[in-house]
Amino acid sequence: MGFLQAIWALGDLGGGEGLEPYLKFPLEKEGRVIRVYLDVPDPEAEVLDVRGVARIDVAHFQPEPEMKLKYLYRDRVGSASTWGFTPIHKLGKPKAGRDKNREYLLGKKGDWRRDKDSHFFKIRNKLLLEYEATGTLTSGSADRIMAGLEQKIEAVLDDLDPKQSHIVIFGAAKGGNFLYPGEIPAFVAYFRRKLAEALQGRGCNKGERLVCAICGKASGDLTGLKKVFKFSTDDKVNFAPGLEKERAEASFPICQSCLEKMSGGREHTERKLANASILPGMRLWAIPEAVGEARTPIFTALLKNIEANLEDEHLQSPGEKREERFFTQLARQGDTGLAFHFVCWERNNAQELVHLMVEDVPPERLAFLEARWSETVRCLFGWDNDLRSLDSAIRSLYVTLSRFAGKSEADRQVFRDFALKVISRMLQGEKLPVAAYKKIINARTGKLIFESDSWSSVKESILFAHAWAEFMIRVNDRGEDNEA
Amino acid sequence: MKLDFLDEFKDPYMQTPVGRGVFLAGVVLGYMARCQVEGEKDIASAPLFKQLEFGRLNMKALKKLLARVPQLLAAYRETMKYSGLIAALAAEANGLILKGENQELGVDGNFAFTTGFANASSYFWKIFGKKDGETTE
Repeated sequence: MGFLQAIWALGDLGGGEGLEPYLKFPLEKEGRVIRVYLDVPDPEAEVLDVRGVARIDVAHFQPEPEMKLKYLYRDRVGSASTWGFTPIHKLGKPKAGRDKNREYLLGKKGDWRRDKDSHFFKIRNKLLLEYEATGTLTSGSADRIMAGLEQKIEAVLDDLDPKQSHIVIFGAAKGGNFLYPGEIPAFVAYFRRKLAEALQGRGCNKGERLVCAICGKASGDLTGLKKVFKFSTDDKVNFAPGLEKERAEASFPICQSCLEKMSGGREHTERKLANASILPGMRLWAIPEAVGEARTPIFTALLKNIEANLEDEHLQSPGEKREERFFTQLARQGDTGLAFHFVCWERNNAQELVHLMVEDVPPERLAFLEARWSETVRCLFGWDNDLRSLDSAIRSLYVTLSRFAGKSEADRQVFRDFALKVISRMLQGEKLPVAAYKKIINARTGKLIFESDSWSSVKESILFAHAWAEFMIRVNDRGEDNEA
Repeated sequence: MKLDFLDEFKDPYMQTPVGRGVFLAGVVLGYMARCQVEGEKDIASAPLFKQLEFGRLNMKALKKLLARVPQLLAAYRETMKYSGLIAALAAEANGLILKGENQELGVDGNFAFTTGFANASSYFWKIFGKKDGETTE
């Protein structure tokens, strides 16, 4: 089970209770929030009778843990769905300048009711109308909100920052303060209803005696793993017979309790154990698992330690250090009975594409790889440099191969896949393909030289290519004292 | 001539005489190509550089190029400093290659040649005692 068990254990350890495991932050790091204060007589009411918009302002996004419950955010079930779990609309990065932003929100001619690309059109039709249809808002509320928005949006157009992602969040005004969706019972009830619908299985397991694939308990209310991981697909019938749509829930059924823990575990991983900078465009998760029983004080303490170390590095030099020393931190967990599972994936619209999944990597292996890289760097670059971390190694392989790939997007893709293959083998403790690597480099050296603008960058690329060949040979040449 | 830094390389090919010879041939020819032009950034326009097919070089072509080193040194006598050191290194490379009994360059040979050629100036001064950056210019 490996990776799944580890995610489950993380969720079991600290995924929170109630709705929390199902929630995530609407923005990844920083950004701005356009807060729409709805004018409702009673924010506690079961059905909100919206009379208009009391106020609109712009605030900074707050990534503090307690805000997760207030934002009450969960990704939509699909990009084409006409409803969301939360009254939040993602704007992306706005334009520079007041007029362009007005156009961005209200459409090119200001006729947002007909302009399907305008954000106002999407807010009304893909978000608010469902609240009316489900009786969370009284009839006509959506139009009253849109009228208020149209009137008051002018006030914040100058405050939008084109460098940051923005979201529009609908809450309620109470005594001049802003109540977030998670503080409004009607929105919470809507969220719960939608969540229950989304998590429910399709009822295909009726009459069959199925057990949860994770905890092994029989349950009448099973669902599929794809509710947590989009990359868990069930449409590859020719790949794995038995994955027909009708039997999707039967292929890897999980019970509601395990689903809750898996959701919490995934969110935990995203927040604390992920890195987005080592391989551009991709997210890399490193999930620790204790050998044996997970819920031990030692494992809990180690996990906290790993997370705190990653966080400390983050605090010392905003954004930089943590990213630079991701693998180094993990390599330091030697002799602790821990193993890591690595997943490298890429978001492609609503899809999550897994490029690499390596299970059961002991920290000792990471330390071994780092030591071999460090030796290589000393040999080729000298003592005085800051390239010695394993993170630098992995990043340099990717960058070097990209340079040899040249400008063609298709070639870059092939070279990226080769880099991932090498990284995956490295983490799995397998032999690295030195001969194939040298062949690739040889075949592309001429292209690199003639396509490159400066000889110094060619020199550097070839030096790194040499370093990687040396590193691979050193890794392959494991002595008896090295880990298997 | 200090060649002990080659011992630090773990590539088995670089531990063979022919591997070392090919690498040093890369250093010699890279250094000479650099001397044929104004500065290193123009290296691609060096006559020597234009005669190389990186990644597809064979032993016959490499030996031919090495054989031309004395001739080139004579031709560039005015502009090419340290011709004595270059000649000595070329002779060393030749000697090592000859120990390989006509072994072809192949993948390893081409890789070693390219790595020597690209960073020729720093390796050249590593071999002849100066530090990196302390070059002829």
